[in-house]
Amino acid sequence: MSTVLHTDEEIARLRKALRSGDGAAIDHAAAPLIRALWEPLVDQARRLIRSAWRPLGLEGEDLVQDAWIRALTYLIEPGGEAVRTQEHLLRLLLRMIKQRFLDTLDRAEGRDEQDFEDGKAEQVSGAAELGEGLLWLEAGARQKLIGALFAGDDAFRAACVGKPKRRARQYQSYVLFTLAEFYRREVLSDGAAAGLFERYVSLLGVAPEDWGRVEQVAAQPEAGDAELFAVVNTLCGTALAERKALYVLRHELGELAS
Amino acid sequence: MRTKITNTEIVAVAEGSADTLTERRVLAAALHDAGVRQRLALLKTVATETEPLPRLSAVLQTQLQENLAIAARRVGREYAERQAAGSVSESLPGWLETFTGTVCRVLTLEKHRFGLSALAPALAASAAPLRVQSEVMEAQNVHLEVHQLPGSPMRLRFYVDASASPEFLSEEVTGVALALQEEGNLELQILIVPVNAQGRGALEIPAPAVQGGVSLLGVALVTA
Repeated sequence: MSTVLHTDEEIARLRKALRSGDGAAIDHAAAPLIRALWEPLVDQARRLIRSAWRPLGLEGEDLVQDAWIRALTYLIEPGGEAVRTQEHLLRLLLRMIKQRFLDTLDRAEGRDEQDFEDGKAEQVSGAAELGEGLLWLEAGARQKLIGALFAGDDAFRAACVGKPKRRARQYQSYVLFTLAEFYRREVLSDGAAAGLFERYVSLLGVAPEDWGRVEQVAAQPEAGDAELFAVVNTLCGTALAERKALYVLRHELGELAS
Repeated sequence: MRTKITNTEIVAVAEGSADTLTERRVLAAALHDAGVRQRLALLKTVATETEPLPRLSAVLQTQLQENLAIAARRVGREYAERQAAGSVSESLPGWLETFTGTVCRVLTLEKHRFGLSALAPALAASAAPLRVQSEVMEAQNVHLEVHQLPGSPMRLRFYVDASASPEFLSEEVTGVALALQEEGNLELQILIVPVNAQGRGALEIPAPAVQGGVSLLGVALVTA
């Protein structure tokens, strides 16, 4: 007759054994989990390694062992008490494998940190630099402010530090122009970015029908700033006519977020 | 000003468990950096692959399982060594060390995992999310409440009432320290809720961007 353990019991037993430091107890508690989990773990790790675009000098099994050690170490910390089921432990392990894989990839490519400089756009003006606005929008306190911008005047005012000089739609026009500029410059020529960009715009809270109208104009090869200003002005009820107005709005948004 | 994207965040976005703000930041970075785009695409592709891989040889299977068992023993041994060296505490390892004031009393409180939607994000999305707007706890005559305020961006209000605590009556308690920890993150966040002359106080903060559930690990009465 086989013994069926409740999964919560398995994790609790392993945690207790690890904390005791007793090798035999650890072997006994870890064995059923290792038997249950090794296959999905190594499967994912090998798929990741296989999909890497450069040799990483390690095998899927290395990723699994590394994740296993990190997960068990976490399991016995106070924060690890929340892990109570085998399914939860598996999810944690799979996530750690992916993170370790990306860390290894970063080291192989010499990019230890995914750092993005958005300060350049503060110092210069011109067509190309407005595209950096996507990173500018998402940095620091501005991120939440921009999130409230398309949720209406009340939400925007509530998110502002201090009283805004203008209504939300004025600042919306700046963001929509920035998006249109980026779309025209980067997304049209790179199909791989289109899906990400569409998702990004929806997360900002821009109404799909509004973005559809901006996108339609921005996609026209002959469209210039005048056409973009026109569609943005129509949607937002503004009267923007030149880029320097955008920099004023951008500056004010920065002030309202800080 | 720099925007930093971590691999933890990239994984969360690829898994669909990231909150909106994290996803926006990662997508903005991905739109500027082909490397981030490649990483997101790779993770998503691997997640949808279904064709079987060649099986690991029996020798490698055995070796891997043995290595995992050895690794488990190693984790246990190292934990025991740390414990013997006194660097592991049973409940809250050094969480109050970062607090520069005086601790009047550490309260006994069973670890509490928040069910507020702002603090229990999509990590456990497969389970039915428990969506409540406030939570109430008691710890040795100290009353604690956490409210998730409506509106966007989301904010949290921590309310404490230590007026019935003996320490408040006999000592100069000026605040209540709360130790919060996000699942999968070893770093703790310590919040100090200042209390007034009546022993009551509130602290309002923006809801943190978290990928894992957040738990309250400990509570202490403190003097600034």
